[in-house]
Order: sequence, then C-alpha cells, then structure tokens
Amino acid sequence: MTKIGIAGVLAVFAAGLWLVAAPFAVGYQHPGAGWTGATRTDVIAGGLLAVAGFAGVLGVIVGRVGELYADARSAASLAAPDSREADRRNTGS
Amino acid sequence: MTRYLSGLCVAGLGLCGGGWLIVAAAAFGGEGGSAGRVNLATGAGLVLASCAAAVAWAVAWRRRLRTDGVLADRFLLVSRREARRNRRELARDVRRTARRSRRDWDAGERGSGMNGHALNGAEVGGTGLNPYVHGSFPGVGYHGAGHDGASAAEVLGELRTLRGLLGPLLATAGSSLAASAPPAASAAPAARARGPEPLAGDDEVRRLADGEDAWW
Repeated sequence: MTKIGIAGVLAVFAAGLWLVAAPFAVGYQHPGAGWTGATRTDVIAGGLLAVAGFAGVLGVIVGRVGELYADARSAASLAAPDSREADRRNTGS
Repeated sequence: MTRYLSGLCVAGLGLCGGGWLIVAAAAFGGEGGSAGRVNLATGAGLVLASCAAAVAWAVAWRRRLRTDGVLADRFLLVSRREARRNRRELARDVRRTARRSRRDWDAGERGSGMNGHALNGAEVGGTGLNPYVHGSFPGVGYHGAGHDGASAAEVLGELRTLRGLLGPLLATAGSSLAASAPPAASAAPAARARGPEPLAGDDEVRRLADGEDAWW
C-alpha cells in the first residue's frame, strides 16, 4: 500500500512537471509570443503541483528515515540490558 | 506518521489540482483545442492517481495504527444478522414472560393463596427471618407459582426450617455481642440474646405481602 501511495505522490510530481512543459511541448504556446490564458493556467497549476509533489516525496523520505532512526534507537535500548548482563556474566562480577 | 500525513496532503492537493484542471479545460475549451484536451486528460489522470494515493495512504496508516495497537481490531463474535435475530428473540421472550407473569398475577389476585390456611399460621414473623422472606417471596411462592395455598405453605415450611437453623446462631451472636458491648448500648443485643421474639402471625405476613405489592 505504501508503494502505491508513493507512486501516487510521484505521479502528482510528474503531472506538475508535465503541465509546466505541456504548452511548449504540445505547441499551443508559440515561442516568443505572449502567454495565453491556457498556458498561464497550466504553468501555474503545474508548478504548484510539482512543488507539492516534491515536498510530498521529501516528506515521505523524511518520515521513513525518522522511523528507521526510532526503530534503531528502540532496538539499541532493548539490546543494551542484555549486553550488560552478558558482560556481567563473562566478568563474573 | 510524517510520511502518511505528507502523502495524504499531497494526494489532497493533487485532487484539487486535477479538479482545477478539469474546470480550466471547460473554461478555456474554446480558446484552443489542444490546450483543452491536455488539461482535461491531465486533470482526469491526476484525479485518479490522487484518489488511489489517498486510499493507499489511508489504508497503510490504518494498518500501521493497528499494528502499533492504537486501533483495536474488531472481533465480531456473531454476524450482524445473527445478532439481529438474537435481539428479536430476546425481545420476544421478554414480552412473553411479561405477559405470562401478568396473567399469573391476575390469576393469583383472584385466588385465595394469601388468605389461605397456610398463612394463617402463627409462626411467620421472626426478626432474623425478614431478609429471607423478602428474598424468597418474589421468586418462589409469590410471583413464580401464584398465591395458591400450597406454595405459601412451602414458603412457610422453609421459613420454619430456617428459623430453626438460624435461631440458635442468632442467639449465640446476640449473647456474645451483649457480653462485649457497653451496658448503655446493649439493649438490642440483649433483646436478641433472649432468642426469637414471639411471632406476629398473620399481621407480619400481611405486612410483607403489602410490601411486595408496593414493590411490584
């Protein structure tokens, strides 16, 4: 499920990029001419979507890395008493 | 939690953006054919992708919460249909029982149980036996089998048995209390130490029966 969610976020980002490039790629905005209303709409909406998608991807990565850090911390805190106990057994103290 | 929230936020923004693109395609449709088509196709795809992403993030978050123990699993011991059927049967049983008890009550009021021979005995009211009388009358003789003389006689027999059993115990407890209590406060234990009081007979039973009537 998380993969589908990440794919959706990436799709939003890709759609934003596509919308920014679409007027020039498809050709309904002639180079050198003033921007039409459709071009302006596409570029603004595409830019917002691209920024949102990029922020979403960053948020997903940050959240995942934060969870990994938290898991590592909890695993270390669980393992610490065991290692101390093992050391005590080995040293006989 | 951060990734679920950000994924849901981006999915919501994608939904808004896709909707806006569809609206824009309709608004600027007459301006250029290719621009309208691009906006419409991109908006529709964006809406679909955002919907899928939102559902996926929501399901993933719920699964995570359930794994962490924040959300409790629903254990349905019986199906909803079975629960409905059980509820109907229970309501029917309650109605039937209420109807039957009302019928027994009417029949008992017409009968002569409370004025029958069994309750005219002289050994019903002991002070220590009142709790038993209150507890047993609704279940056994009074509401269960009506007011007939036989059940009242059974109750009286049980009362006498209990009185015979509890009388010495009460007398012992009363004497020990009387021995340990100060003289000013020893009137009641001393009275209890004298043994069971003389029985009140019909008056006591009628008083109890009135109490039961009021209770019912």
